[in-house]
Amino acid sequence: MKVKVPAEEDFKSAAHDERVTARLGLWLGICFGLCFVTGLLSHAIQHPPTWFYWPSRPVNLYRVTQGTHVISGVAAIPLLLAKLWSVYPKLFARPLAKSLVNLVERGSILLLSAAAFFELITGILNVAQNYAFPFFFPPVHYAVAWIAVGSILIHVAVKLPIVRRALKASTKGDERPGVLSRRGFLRSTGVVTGVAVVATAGATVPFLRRVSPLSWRTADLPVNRSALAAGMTRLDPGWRLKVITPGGTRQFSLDELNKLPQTTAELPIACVEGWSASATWTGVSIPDLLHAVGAAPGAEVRVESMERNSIYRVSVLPSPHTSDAKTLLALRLNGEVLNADHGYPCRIIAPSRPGVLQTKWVGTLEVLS
Amino acid sequence: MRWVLGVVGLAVLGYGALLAIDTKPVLETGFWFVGGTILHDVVLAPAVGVVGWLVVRVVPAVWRAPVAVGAAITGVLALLTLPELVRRYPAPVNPGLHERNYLLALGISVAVVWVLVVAVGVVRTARARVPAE
Repeated sequence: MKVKVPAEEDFKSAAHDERVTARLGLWLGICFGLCFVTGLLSHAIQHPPTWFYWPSRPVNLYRVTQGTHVISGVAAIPLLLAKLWSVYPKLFARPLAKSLVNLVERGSILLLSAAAFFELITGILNVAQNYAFPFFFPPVHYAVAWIAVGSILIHVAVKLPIVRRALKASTKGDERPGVLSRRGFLRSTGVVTGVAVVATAGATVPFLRRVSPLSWRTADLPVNRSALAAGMTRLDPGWRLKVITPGGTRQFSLDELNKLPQTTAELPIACVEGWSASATWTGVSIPDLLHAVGAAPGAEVRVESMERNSIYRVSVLPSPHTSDAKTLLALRLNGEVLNADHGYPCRIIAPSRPGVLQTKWVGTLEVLS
Repeated sequence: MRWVLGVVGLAVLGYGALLAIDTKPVLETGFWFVGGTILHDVVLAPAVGVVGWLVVRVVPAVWRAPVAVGAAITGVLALLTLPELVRRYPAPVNPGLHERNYLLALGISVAVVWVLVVAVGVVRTARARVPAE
């Protein structure tokens, strides 16, 4: 049997109709838009510019924005595949370029497609903690997001007349042959996208916890860095929490921390890698602790872990969080003393923050301003 | 409107390129950048085409839509599971994350999908037999 490269005209099914393409493009654009905005937020929370403000309430805010980031990313996978199937015949258009403008346009689509696949592939690998790529994920995923969104904007600018025409055109009649009708293809894409979301979203959406078969979270409250990995399985019996203030340094034994007023709060851990889980945490609220050392709530607090070999061993609690009574130096989890994996002897747990900033095995707190 | 979009797009794109310029290793990252779209255009999309072609020729008309949707869901679920199944480095040992037999989870999910495909196909076949009034 001879296999020949198909020509653009060989693709006859209704999926390749521009009315299908425009609608899929719109849905995909919404998903990428959500991904981009929530991604920028997550980036800004972790690397805050001076003008940036992120509130500590509602406590689930970051959980929702980052959950949206990952869910819209998962939804974009079937949508991107459907969109590219819709325009796949154009890949075989000959000549390769009718004009310089046409060449630039085709090049920009290659760039768009490359950036889109790169974001979705690295993203889905990262939530699986499958670090197969040869680079450090966050800065590269962040940079290529700008490339993807820039080329989407250029693509929309180029195609706007066709998009307008396609969205306004009558959706009745002139059906083409094929497995699915135009509407059928769109509906089916919707179904596939819905299944992809339901199959994974249980990692962060509570009522889907027992539903999603492919969820990367497989317990009620996962641990993202174990005590073993961090080298924090044993605590020096003479351990003291050091609290550095502009006025001097105070030390607290675990016993003394337990004797300070205790606050209990229901707070989520919301990981940048797309899972989240709520639990009941008890400990000294940061405003109470600041009062105890003669500092004012609302001052920024630098949190330093006792673990040595992690780029995430230090975090800074911003002003809205250090004045929030639900920001805890937690000593207990669901009523029991923290275990080593959850950060014994004490950890930070603050509302509406990425999990990577909920520093465990805290050794030093430093009041900054 | 189009020009504004285009210029803003170019600026955003340029900023991204600026951010990406120092990424190391250059060559391997470049492969990763173009790899997805090339794999799609050369392997995945032709495979979809072949499956569609087979569905049209092998599957009876009333069964085509459910079978095609079932195949699409199977493919997408398999792609979503792949990062849990094939690892270059072992996953970090994190209690409560990735502790599942994902091949089994995928198998069960796909089985449920195809049970539904058969159910829809049977209903459509029955409906097609009833003469329209």
